Amino acid sequence: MTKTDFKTDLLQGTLDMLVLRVLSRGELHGWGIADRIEQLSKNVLNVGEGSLYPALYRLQDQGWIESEWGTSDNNRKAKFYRLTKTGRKQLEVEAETWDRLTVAIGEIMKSA
Amino acid sequence: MKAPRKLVALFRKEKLDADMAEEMRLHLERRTEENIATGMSSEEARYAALRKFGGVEQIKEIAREQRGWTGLKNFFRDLRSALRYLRAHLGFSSLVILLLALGIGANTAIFGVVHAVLLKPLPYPQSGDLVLVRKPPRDPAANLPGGGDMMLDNELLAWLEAVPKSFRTLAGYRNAAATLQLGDGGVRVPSAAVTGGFFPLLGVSAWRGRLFDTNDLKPGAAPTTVLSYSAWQSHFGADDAAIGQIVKLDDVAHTIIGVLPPAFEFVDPVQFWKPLPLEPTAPGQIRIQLIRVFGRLLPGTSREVAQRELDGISERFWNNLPLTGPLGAAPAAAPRPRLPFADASAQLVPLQEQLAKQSRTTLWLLLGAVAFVLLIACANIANLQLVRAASRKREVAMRAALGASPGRLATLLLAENLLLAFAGGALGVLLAWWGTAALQAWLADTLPRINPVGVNATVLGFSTLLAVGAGLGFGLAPAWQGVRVDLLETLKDGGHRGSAGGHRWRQALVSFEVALALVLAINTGLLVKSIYQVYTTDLGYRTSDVLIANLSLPRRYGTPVQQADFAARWLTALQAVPGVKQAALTDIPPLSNSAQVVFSVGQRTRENSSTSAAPPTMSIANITPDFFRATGIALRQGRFFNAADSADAPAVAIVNEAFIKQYYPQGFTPGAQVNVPGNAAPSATHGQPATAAIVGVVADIRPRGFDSTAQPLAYFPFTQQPRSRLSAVLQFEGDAAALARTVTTATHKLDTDLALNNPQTLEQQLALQTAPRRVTLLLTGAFAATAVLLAALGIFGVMSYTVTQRTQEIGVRMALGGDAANILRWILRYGAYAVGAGLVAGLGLTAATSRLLTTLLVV
Repeated sequence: MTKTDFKTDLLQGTLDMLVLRVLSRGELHGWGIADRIEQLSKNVLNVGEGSLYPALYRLQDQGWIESEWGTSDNNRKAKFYRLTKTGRKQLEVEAETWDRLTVAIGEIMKSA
Repeated sequence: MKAPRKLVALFRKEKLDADMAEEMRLHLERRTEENIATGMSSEEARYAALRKFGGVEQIKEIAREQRGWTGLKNFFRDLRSALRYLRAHLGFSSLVILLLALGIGANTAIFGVVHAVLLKPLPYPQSGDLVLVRKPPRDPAANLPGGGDMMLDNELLAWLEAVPKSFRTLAGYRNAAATLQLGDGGVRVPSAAVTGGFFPLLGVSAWRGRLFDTNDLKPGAAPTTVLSYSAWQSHFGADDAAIGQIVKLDDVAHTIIGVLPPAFEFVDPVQFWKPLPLEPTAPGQIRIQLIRVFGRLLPGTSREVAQRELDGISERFWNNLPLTGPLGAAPAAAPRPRLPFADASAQLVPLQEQLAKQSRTTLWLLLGAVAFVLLIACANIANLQLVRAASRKREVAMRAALGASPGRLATLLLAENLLLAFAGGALGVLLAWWGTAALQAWLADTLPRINPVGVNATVLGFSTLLAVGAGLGFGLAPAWQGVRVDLLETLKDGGHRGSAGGHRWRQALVSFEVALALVLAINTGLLVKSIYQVYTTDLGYRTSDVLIANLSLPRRYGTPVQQADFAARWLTALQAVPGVKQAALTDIPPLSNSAQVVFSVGQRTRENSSTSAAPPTMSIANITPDFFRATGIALRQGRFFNAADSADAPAVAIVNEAFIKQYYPQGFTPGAQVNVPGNAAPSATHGQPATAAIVGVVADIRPRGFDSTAQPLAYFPFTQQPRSRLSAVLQFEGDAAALARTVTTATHKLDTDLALNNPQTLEQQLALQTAPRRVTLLLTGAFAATAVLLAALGIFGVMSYTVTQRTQEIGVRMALGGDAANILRWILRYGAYAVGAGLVAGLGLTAATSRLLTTLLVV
């Protein structure tokens, strides 16, 4: 139990950012988002797909994304998520923070 | 912005949950289809999808927890499920609730009394500045009434005249019963006389009419009285017309000038208040009128400063007092008679402390005893929780497996224990409500009655604190300890075996209970012993078959001749009452609270007083000849009084052994003399002899019961020293209550206005006197019995649980040829270790507490 907790904590911020990033290209349903993240991260972030949902609800509670039940391409019921205006701003902020962080970590790794 | 949405989430929980379940179901469905498309069987495809997704229920729980307000929401849900759990285990929960209720109820009731008596300020403005000013006699052997709390009214007058800077007010108070004559016959009513400063001192003003002013307090002023609110209601129908009305108190007409407010209470339940004028004594005389003195210190004045100021005034007062010797003017060379008050220093005791004096130790003792009971109850609860926790490990493990975080598990246990605590607390307060009423009835005579005892906000706060503390400290901790186990381990072995750690805990709890119960039991034993000693103390007189009826003659029996005449007629009437074996009269009956103490004893006194530190005092009593026969006081030497000792016969006296020991150390010789009180001073002009011949010596008595000691005491014949205060002392056979009625009728035949003061046997009076001790013993005994019972329950619980748990092990041992006796020994050893450790710890604790107890016991 504790192990999963730890992993979720570490990845939570990153996962949120990835979701926002995926949704910035347009609205998408849950498993679609999961597929996209898997593609983008090239299987590096091997999280259980289920963990996506708490992240989605969290972002929705923050008001960064919104959702609506609809029908998918092959005529199936699905819930679609889309980025809100504040969500788009949040993505910019997070992307910037992320860049700075990775640069910083990169510097440290080089100098050490 | 966020809160409303969360609030909505709180109420739309079902919809959100359904939405979430649907979304996840669709996700899994889709993945399964994808997997089937890659060629898996439908079963395989589904498992693969689930693996990829993670634990569905755990993820749902994570989502729910982050929804916000979940803490509160979960808590409500936990409360519900806790309630379900407790209902399902009704035996367990009702046992815990009952244990808590018992402990909390007893503690709340006792604390209610402690709060009212010791902690809550008195209901007077700035009550912290109020003090009792006492002058404890230099020699405690003086054994004055009031136990040193009373002092000479003339000394108060000296203080008042000097206007001490440390005090805002000083006031005198003297209580007595009075006979109220309202048309048909008399009734005895509690009354008190107070000086002018008394009501201002307590900050009380009139409810109707006015209180005493300087004119009412002048010596010789027209008598006035102020009614208590209850007297105004019961005797005058709360009629405003009562003001200005005349009432007869002790044959004297008093004008009613005012009524006190309903909320006003003082130490005694006084109904009629009278002014107490302070007048200086005539030169050459000391009129001994003892009063209680109360003072209100100026804010910020220390008691030491105030005491020094009063002592300075007192020194001048005593030095300037014109005293004469017992046989006329004292020769210049002779030492001044040393009155017990003269060299004493004033003592200032905060009023609240003074009022609580007698009950303080009793109350702390009781509070300590109930605290022990609560602790034992708590140990039992802890034990129950440990056992319960062990048997629900599987359930807890299941919850954890279904995604309950350690925090959630803790909240669930918290909810259960809070429910138990509050249920127990509520039931306890209910018990306390009832218990307080009973306590108040039992302790009525010992407790100061100014602050009412009851369950109020502070007391409720105390019990809530107890409930939460006891319920959580002794419920949650062990429950949590018990369930915090390795889940996998528990699930694997089926949760059957208790851990070794649990056993140690249970054993420790049993030891703890045994120790506490032992302390209570031994201390109760000590109390029993001390009370037994009290009861077996020889008072020096019979108590079971002696009836006392007190009478105060009204003013119309003003002269000694009238008093002597009435006494003779009353005695004859009493001797004729059927059932009376011996009848006698006295002014100071045994066990009476009053005493007459005189400071001049006789010629021998002066020789002794220069060497002896004790002041030459003696108590006196005036009796009719059969007094010693009626009370069973033994004659040691000489003779009793007889009919020949009449008013015009030579003055005679009988003294006790203590008198002889102090004033005639060489022994009694016929012809020894003693001063006749009242006749010795030159101003006494009855033309009567100043000294009386001692004709007999009688055995010592404890005049005021078990706590008093024998003092020098001289008896004079009633015929030679008549009084307006009379008590009948009747040795009787048959029913005391019936006799009391006959005596009352017989007395009313002589004078219908006379009010007999509640005739009682000496034994009944003694029972009243020892009531506080009996109540303390009864309560401590009850607490100790409860403690022992609870400890026994605890031992039983632990032993039976242990044995049940080890049934399998025992079975295996038996199967392998184990001897039944051996196994029994093994089980007994397990219990014996716990109990033995408890006994050792308990004995250690007892040594400490019993030392404390013996300092508290006043025997």
